[in-house]
Amino acid sequence: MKIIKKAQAGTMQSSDLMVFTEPSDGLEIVIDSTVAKQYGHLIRAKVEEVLDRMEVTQGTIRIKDRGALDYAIDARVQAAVLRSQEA
Amino acid sequence: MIGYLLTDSRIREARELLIDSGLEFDPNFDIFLGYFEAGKLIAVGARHKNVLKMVAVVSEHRDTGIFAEMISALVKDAFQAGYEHTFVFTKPEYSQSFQYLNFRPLAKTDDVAVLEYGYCIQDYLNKWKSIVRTGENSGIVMNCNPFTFGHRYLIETAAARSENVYVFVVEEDSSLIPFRVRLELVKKGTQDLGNVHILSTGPYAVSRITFPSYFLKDSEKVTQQQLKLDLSIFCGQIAPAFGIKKRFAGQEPVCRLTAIYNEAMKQTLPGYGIEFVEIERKTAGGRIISASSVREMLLGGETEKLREMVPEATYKYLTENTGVLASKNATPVLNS
Repeated sequence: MKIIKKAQAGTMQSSDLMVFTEPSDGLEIVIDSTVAKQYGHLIRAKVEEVLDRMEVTQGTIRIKDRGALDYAIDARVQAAVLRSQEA
Repeated sequence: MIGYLLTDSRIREARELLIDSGLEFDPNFDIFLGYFEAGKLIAVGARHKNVLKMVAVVSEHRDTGIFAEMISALVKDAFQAGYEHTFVFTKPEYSQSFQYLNFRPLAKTDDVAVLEYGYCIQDYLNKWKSIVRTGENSGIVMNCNPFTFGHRYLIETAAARSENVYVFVVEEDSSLIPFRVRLELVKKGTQDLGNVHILSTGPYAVSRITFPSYFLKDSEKVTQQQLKLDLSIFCGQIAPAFGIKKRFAGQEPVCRLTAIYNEAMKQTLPGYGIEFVEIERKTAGGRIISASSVREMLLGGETEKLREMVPEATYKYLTENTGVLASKNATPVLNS
């Protein structure tokens, strides 16, 4: 699956995250988090897991996180990726 | 819940809320959002293109999630409108509230803080990493509307006095000649100069964000505040990333606004350890070469005179596109 258009999911509320997608040649994940120092690697692992599960091979995923938990990250990334597929 | 404020009476309510919060009402906005609780307006926020403004929450509802909800709604609305990179101008004491929402501080003066969301200046600087060279480097910011022998002379002079010259072409597309063309003509006109690198400013110099007066005339006080901001970004963030020790500009005997800009550089740059070098303007046939006189000649049908003012590539573009440029010039927004 490729990211074919720009899409967005999530909010800026505390414990939530905003996810932005856009088409690109490679697969890139850019994470900006208020808790990047402590949890940046775990957020990345979670995003990679979701992309892997959805078989996303191309696109840029940008995350603006405000301390979201795993299941929120999972849901928001999935929603953004699905929206990036809609015609 | 959040909704658009569409009627005059709603906007008046918003205006009162802003004034109660110590903020000014600004009639330039594309959308205005309001947060209602039991029919009462308790928070507002507006957007003009990619700039968020007039964000306020009534005092008894601060420290709730309403501020974040309002900003979320504005950012999503901006995204829908095609703006992924948004900016906010706020009072310095509110900077932290935006930083909690992943906004990044861009610049700050005593009166105003500017923050950005989506992308940040670090992304812009990273993009140019491959052309960054250490040394005694110089920078020039130019609109080049269009590229003339005057620009060429300024760049040559800087190139002879520096190890590397970084020429930042103004990216804001509010000039007669489109940005892509201006950039291309500068590149063509300087390709023989090995130590000259041509870049774009992004939104970070002489843009609608940093220096709106350049495109829409403002009072001199407002202009001065904007200049402080514009130069603090150049001196504080751009110059260090490129090793820029000097900034070159042409003397400005004609345009008042550019003269003010030069004067501000003369005052401000040394404080950041950057030398400001003002170069005497090149002349042709006893007349200063300026992009504005080139535009006048072109639109006045004096194309043959252009030969001694602009390089070949510029001449070719201007003469092949005279009709398009003349009709574009007839629209009122283009003044620089």
